[in-house]
Amino acid sequence: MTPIVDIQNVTRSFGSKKALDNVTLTQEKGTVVGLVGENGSGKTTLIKHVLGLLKPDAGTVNVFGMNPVTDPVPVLAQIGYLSEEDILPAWMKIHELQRYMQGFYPTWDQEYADQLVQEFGLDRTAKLLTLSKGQRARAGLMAALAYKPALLLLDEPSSGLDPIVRRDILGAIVRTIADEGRTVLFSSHLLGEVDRVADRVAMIKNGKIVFCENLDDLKETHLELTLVFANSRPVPPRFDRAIAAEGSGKEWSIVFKGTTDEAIAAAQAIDATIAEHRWASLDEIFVAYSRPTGGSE
Amino acid sequence: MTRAVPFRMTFHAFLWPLWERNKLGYKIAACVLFGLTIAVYLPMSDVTRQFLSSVYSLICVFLTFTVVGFVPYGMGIQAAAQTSSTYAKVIFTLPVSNEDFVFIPILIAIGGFTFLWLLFVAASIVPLHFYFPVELPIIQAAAMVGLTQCCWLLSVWKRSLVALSMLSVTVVGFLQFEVMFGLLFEGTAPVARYGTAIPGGLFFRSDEELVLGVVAILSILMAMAVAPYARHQASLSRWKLPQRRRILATSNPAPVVLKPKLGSALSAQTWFEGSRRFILLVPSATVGTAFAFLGLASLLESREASMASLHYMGPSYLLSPWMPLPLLLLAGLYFAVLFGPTSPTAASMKGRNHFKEPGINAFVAIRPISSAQLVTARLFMAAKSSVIAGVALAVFFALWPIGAVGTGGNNATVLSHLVSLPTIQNLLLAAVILISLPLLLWCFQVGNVFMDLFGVKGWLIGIGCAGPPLIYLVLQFMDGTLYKLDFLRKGASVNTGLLEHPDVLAKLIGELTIAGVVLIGIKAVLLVISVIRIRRRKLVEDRNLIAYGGIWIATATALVGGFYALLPPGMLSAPYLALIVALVLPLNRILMQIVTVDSNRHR
Repeated sequence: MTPIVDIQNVTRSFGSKKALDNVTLTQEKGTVVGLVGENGSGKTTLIKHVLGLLKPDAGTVNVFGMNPVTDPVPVLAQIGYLSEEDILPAWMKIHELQRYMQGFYPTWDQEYADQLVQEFGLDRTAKLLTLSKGQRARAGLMAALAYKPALLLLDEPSSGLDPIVRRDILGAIVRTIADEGRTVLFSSHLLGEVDRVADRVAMIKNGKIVFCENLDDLKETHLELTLVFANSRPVPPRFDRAIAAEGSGKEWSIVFKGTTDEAIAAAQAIDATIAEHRWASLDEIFVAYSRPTGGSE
Repeated sequence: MTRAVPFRMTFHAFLWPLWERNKLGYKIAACVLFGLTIAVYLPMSDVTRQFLSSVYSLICVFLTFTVVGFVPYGMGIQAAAQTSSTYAKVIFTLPVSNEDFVFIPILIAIGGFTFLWLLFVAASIVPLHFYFPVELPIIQAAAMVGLTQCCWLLSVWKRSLVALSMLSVTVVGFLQFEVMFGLLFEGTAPVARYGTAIPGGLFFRSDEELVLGVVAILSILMAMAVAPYARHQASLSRWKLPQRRRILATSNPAPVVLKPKLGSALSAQTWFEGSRRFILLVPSATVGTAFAFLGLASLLESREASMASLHYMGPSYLLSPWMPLPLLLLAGLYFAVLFGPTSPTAASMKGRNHFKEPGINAFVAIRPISSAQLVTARLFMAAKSSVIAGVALAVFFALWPIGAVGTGGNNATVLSHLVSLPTIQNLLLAAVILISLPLLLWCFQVGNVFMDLFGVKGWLIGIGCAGPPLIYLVLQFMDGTLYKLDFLRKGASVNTGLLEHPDVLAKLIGELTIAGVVLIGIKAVLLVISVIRIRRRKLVEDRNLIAYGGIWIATATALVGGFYALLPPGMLSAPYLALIVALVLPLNRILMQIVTVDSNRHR
């Protein structure tokens, strides 16, 4: 089956800065992929490649089997997009926004759009300029969802918004997933959100994909260990398959990639005992890959 | 007690953002200055040098009015189009007094302009030994900057007052028009009027200086008065007012008027472009300025022969055999040049792309619509705006005679024109010209947008450097003709001079024709490049490309045929008309727009 999003070996630079470095990422129909990474890691650049707003220097991007740069119309007709940036025209009223969008998308469902407007507590006669940030985000979400796009792209949709709006956005993602065959690619700093809705998580760092795994697999292969040493250690222990280490003296916390048995074996190899172990949270995995301090012995 | 912020710190706080925003303008001005200086010091005959001094005196008069005029106009448009001020909002919150808040930016702007102007004087006017009132452009800059500051603060205080920024256009436009008509009907010595006794002659040496001086003082005083209110308004939280409106709207929701569904992406995008309230700004500014001209001309006609000419030639030329052509085309060209490239239509086309640079707004860029259709929607919108402006201008020209009658003095002359019935040919000619006006306005609105999308900086700096040496080469090429154009140096008007020297006119036309043909050649090469790019990227289907070409040829043929049939025999031959139409009517510039829109969309 052709993947909905197929990014192969994409490299893109802005001047001397490499924003994407040989990135490969595929997404199957009906899946939710959460894109995580620090600010400036390349998440937005990657999403803009999917939209066709950016052209790769090398590699290929195909969406629905088409190139979004050379065939933008059929690709964009199936994509709903909401970004952290407020790109909605301030002069428009909500009902004008609905009318405008309707012209582009034959699948626009006015009943659903009105339902979302009501649910979000928006005034159809209000100008976008007069809305608060949260309400403009809701208006953007309504505009991105009402034509039931086959692919929903959300670029930091919850950033800077209050918990109520974040809940609305999350609810919309959940509802979109509930519709059979709908695909969501979203980037977020809020790992709790990713944890709740994503099937797969891709982490991007300095323009490179660090990992792209099923969320359950990811969590089941990463352990948070508390290691105790007989003697105090001035530097973090170098530990086979450790991603990051934190602590001081005799006690160190390690994020470890592998099974419990593998962790025990690795600890024994450096004369340490495991005082405590549990599955690492997504948050801990993210921080560990962002700032790795450990590594293979 | 709060200590006052030192003047030096306040000055720097304002200087830095002003420099950041205007540095391109200053760089371009410096390049132009450099180019002009080179041109002055290049070897040339005495005749050419003398002619150059005439040309430079005209540049002094005309360009300073134009360039300085565009600054406030552009700023007004920016404020209107972007619903935000041209300054960062943080500037309102700086701990500075209202006096400093108003005066320092004015001081910096006038200082910057004066510096460049004096450099120009030193580099060009002094070596060429011609007289020009050095203080005039400085007074003008003071008036424009004061007016800009005043209009901006008024619009921050009361959003609806943004239209006042058009005032600056009226004043500048009036002065430009006066200079233009002075050149046509009074001769090439625009400074001849200086030194005559005028009210306020102690400080100002001409009507223009008096008007500008009063404008400067009044606008700075007004800015001072408005500054506290504007600062208070700007310091309110962004959505305090809207929130109140929202509560009101919720308590008593206004019914939504359901409009017909937009059936296609093109119709939705056309609605989007047309729904922007800026569409009426071009017509209203055009007509508002036109009527303001009429009023100002009435006030000054007793003092200025050119104003009297301006006022009375309306009715007289409309009813004379062929003079509507230069008058109306000149007026149309003027409005098109002034309102076209800097128009809100053009401004709205630029938008901001996802890189915060001029380009395609991300909201539009992600819609499922082809780049060619995006451009088409904009062309429709510009056409709509131009047609409204054209109709409004037609009303203005129709009302012109009435205004002239009301001013007295030459009633008998005007009435005698009114009673002489126009011929059918004259009416048809007037109709063709009135159709050409919106077309011209449209051409200027849509013609240069691609440059902004393309990255205009390099072009402008290139033109700034290459322009003046190019002028020098053209002057050398035309040296023989320039010798015969010496009547210009002697102060005769263009009108009289050319009519009295038909041989010079013929030679001039011949040389301009060669230049026109060269330009057509360049345009043809660029057209081929655009078509190749469009076909390579499959931006437009071949049959649509052929249709575009067909429409262009049909329009050009209709214009050439119409003018040729209606103009007096021998006035302009068909090839000349074809050359003019081919130069003005955009084809490649529109195709380039499709290419640049696509490049901006997919970077």
